Amino acid sequence: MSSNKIVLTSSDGESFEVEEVVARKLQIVGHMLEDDCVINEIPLQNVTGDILSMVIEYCKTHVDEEESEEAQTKLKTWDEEFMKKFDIKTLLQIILAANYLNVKGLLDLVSQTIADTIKDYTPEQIREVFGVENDYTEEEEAEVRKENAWAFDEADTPKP
Amino acid sequence: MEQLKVKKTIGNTSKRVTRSQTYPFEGIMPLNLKEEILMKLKAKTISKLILLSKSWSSIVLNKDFTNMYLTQSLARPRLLFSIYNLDIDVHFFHSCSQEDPSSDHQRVRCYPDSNSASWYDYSPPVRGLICCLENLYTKVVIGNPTTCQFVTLPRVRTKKKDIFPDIFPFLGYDPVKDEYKVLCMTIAANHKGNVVSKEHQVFTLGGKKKKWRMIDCEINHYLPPRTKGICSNGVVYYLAMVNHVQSLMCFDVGSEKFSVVKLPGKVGILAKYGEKIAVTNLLFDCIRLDVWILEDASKQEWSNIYVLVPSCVNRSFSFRGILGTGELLFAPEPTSFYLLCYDLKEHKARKIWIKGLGDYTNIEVFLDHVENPMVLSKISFGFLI
Repeated sequence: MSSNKIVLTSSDGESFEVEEVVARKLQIVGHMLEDDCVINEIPLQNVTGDILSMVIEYCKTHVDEEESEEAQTKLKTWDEEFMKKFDIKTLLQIILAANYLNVKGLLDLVSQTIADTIKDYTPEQIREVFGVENDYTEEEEAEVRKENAWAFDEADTPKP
Repeated sequence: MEQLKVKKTIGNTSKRVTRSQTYPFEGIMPLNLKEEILMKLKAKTISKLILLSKSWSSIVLNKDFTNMYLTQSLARPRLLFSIYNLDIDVHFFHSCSQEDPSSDHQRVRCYPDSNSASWYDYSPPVRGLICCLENLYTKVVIGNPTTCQFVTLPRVRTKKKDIFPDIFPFLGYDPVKDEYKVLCMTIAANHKGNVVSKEHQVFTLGGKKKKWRMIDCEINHYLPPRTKGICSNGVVYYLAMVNHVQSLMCFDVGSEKFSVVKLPGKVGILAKYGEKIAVTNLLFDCIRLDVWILEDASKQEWSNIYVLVPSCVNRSFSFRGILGTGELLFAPEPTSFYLLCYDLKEHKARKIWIKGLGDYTNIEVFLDHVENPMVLSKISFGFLI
């Protein structure tokens, strides 16, 4: 594999020099390299430096994905520890970045972590973290709650 | 691998990163990302998200999303237990991974009828939905045992209005039109016990007409009490007496036509065998138990496998289906805390214990249950599905 260096530049002007093999884990970069192989500096408009550094950290760790069970277990443990570093708002920024940069493994990992985090949140808490505007009128919300009372009835449902 | 070179210093990412500013994710998060997160949530949690906003509600209620989630669920079949505790009048659904019954346990309390928990005689699930009769045995209830939502369909009408008929509901799914239908057979008998009318009606879930439609059935057949149907590949199968001979009735959910298949012998149990249909008898007091598999309904072709009953079997077991490992699954009668897996090649049986079911008076187990996030709230009005 080529050991060319690629410079990735974030929207706020931070630059990261990485090996081409790492940069190719970002499929958006992979496609650009296929279109024109002389590129060695790539501006990434939709991601800030702090988030991009985390995506790069993930890609560096996942660059050699070995199939042995031991290697897989080690990676899984690393993924879990990696995800523990972030609060929900940072996770949401990472998922946007993973989607824009097209890093499938990270997208799966972050969406699972977000799902695990919000699963016990109330609708109000989810609205707050996602920045969802409640566009139901009071009457409409009462109606939705009434009609779907089964969905909100947790009284005798033990937590897993 | 060479160390990452950074022209500008970045923060130490080993400490917890927090960003205090609020960020309007809702506005910039594309639909595919919302769906990506929803796909990783349990169906019970997804149903709560209809309260977030109108746009989230429309994603959750969208048929394409439901089908995408169902495709994922179909690859992860589950065991479903319906549990009723008479002492405290509480009814639960408990489910766990079918591949590894010790994992992924979930339990929801349910109220099919607001008046009483009671015990309901559910039909085997069809793509995660079940049906039963409500307490007075006059209305059909459709339920989603994952979200624990139950919806009562309109009363089944019969021509003989003065007689209270026996009602047999069968839930079916037509994969061509992606449509759920309930077939309902009513059998009315007079005070002497003579059958005076038999009718077949169909209710299309989410259909424009919110009522039962009468359909014709040219095959004269009767049903023993508590007859249940099984749906596979767009056909509902059930055991019936056709001209006094026990037979397998087939109802094509799409065309709404009936047909009949001759059985290989007298049987007592109907079950799924993967995608196929199998018939057999209770496993008890025999040395060898034959399981007949319907290979081709149009040619009336059956194949046969057999189970050598271990001598230690001292109670009845009923065949329930086949596991991903190819083992046959048997449940003790009445159902208990364990199941029996039978290896056809080795002719050996092993017990698997299901933990966490709690106390119960009645328990029933179903195979190949799938988590379905479908919301049925306006099912009878035809708005959804």
